[in-house]
Amino acid sequence: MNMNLRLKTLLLMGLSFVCLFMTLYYTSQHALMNSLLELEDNAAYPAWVDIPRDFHNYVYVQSRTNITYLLILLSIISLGFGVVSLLIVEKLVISRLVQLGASVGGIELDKDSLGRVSMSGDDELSQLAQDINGMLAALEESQARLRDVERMAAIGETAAMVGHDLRNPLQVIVMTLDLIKRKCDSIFVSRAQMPEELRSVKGMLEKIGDQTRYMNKIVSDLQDYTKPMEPRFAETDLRRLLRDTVSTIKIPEAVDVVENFDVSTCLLLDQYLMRRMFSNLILNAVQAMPDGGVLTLKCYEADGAVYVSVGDTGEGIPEENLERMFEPLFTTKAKGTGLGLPVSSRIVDIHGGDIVVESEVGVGTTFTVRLPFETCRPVGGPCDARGRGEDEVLLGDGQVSRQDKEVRVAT
Amino acid sequence: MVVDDDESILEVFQTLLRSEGYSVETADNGRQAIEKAKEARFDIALLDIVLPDMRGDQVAVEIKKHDESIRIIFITGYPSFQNCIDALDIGVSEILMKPVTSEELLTSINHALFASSPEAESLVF
Repeated sequence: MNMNLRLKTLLLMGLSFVCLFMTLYYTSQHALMNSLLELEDNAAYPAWVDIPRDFHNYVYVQSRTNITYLLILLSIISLGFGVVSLLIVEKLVISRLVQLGASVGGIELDKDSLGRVSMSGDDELSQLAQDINGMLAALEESQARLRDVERMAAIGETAAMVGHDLRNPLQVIVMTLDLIKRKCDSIFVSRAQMPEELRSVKGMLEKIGDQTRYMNKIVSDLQDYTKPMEPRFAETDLRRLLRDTVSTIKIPEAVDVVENFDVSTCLLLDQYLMRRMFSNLILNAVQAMPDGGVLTLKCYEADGAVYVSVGDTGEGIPEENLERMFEPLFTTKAKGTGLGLPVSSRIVDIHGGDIVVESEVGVGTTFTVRLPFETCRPVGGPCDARGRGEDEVLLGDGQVSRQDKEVRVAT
Repeated sequence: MVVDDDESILEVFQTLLRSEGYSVETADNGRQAIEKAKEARFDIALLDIVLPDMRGDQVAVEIKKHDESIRIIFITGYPSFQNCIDALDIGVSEILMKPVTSEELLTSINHALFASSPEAESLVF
C-alpha cells in the first residue's frame, strides 16, 4: 500500500514530465518549421537582400541545436523540480501517512487502553489523526461500557443462582432457629426459670441468627446491585438524615465522632437510598479504624452543590487500590462483598452527583459525596422553618436491604 | 398446602404450621400440588415460584381453576418484576422473600386468611 502510493506518485510525475517534454519538443519543432517556411518565401525579402543558398539550412540547424539545448536545460530543471517535489510529498504526506498507518496498525484492540496516534503539524493529516483519536476514545468508552454490561450480566446470573440456591438453605436455617427458640420458650415460660446453660444455648442461636442475616445481606447486596434502582425523591433535611443514619450505626467507644453539618437547604433525595449510601461510607470508615480514631462527618454548600464528606484516621488505601474501589466485587476486607461502594456510587449517580475518594496510607481516607443543586433541585429555605422532609424520613434499618422487606402485591 | 422442591423447607414449614394448629399437606412439584388441590380443599397455598416442572404462577392459576377462594402466597428467593405482575394478575395475597421468619410467615398467613374472611374457621393448609 505504502509502496503503491510512492510508485503512483513517481509514475504520475514521470508521466507529467514526458508529456511536458513531448509537448515542448513538438511545439518547438512546429514553430521552427513554420519560421523556415516563411524564410523560404522569397517574397518576404526585399529584392536587394542576397540570401546565400545554404542560409536556410544553416538557420534550421542552428535553431534546432539551440532548441535541443533549451529542451535539455528545461528537462534538467523539470527533473530537479520533480525530485524536489517528490521529496516534499514524501516528507509532508507519504512518510506521515506511513507513520499514521503504523500507529493505527499497532493498536491492540483487546486492551483496556487503546493508546493514541500522534501527528505533528496543523493540516488535514493531523486533523485525521485527531479524528482517529476521537474514534479511539469513543471505542474505549463503548468497550468499557460493554465490559460493565458483561460484568453486570455475570453478576446478575450469579445473583439469580445464589438467590435461589443459597436462600433455600438460609430459609431452613432461619426457620429451624425459630423452631428451636420456640421450643426453648415453650419449655420455660419465663426467662428467669430457664437454666443458665440453656440461656447460653439461646445466645449461641442468636449468633447463628446474626450470621445468617449477614449471609442474607450478601445475597441481597448482590441482587440489589444487579437490579435497576427506582428512586423516590422527597424533600429531605440532609442534616437530620445524616444524624439519624449515624445514630443507627454501632460506633465503637474508641472512635470519636466529629460532626460539622453546615447545610440548611432542603434537597430532593431518595432518603432510603441516601441513608443506605451514608451508612455504607460510615461503616467503611469505622471498620478502617479497628484500634480507634476520629470519624469526621462534614456537610457544606459550595459551588452550586452540597458536599458531604466522611473521613477516618485509619490505615488508608494504597494508591493501586484507589482506582478499583468502585469496581464491583473488589474488596480488601476479609468480610466484604465488594458491592458496598459500587452500590453507593450508583446511588449518588442517580442523584446526578459523584463520589471522590482521597486517601493516604497511615493517615486516613475521606470520601466526599457531591450532590449538585441542579439535579437535586433545592426547594429553598431551611427545612426546619417549613417543617418538611419529616414524614418520609428513614425507612427501616439502613443496613437491611429493601428486598429484605416483604412485597405486598395484593390483599 | 406448602409447595417447594426443597424437602427441608417443606419439613420446617410443616413443623411450624402444625405447631400452630394448622393441618398441612406438602407437595414437592407443581403437578403434585395441582393433583392435591383437586382432591381436597385448601384455604391457603404457600407456593415457591421456581419449581422443577412448572412455574409457581402456572400452578397458582391451575389451583385457582379448581378453587377460586383459595389464597395464594408466593415464597421465593428471587422475585422478578414479571413475578410481581403475574402475582397481581392471579390475585396472589403476598410475595415473601426467602428467608422468611416464623413470625413473618404466620403474620402473612393470618393477614391473607382473615383480611378477606374474618369468620374463617377450621382452616386447612
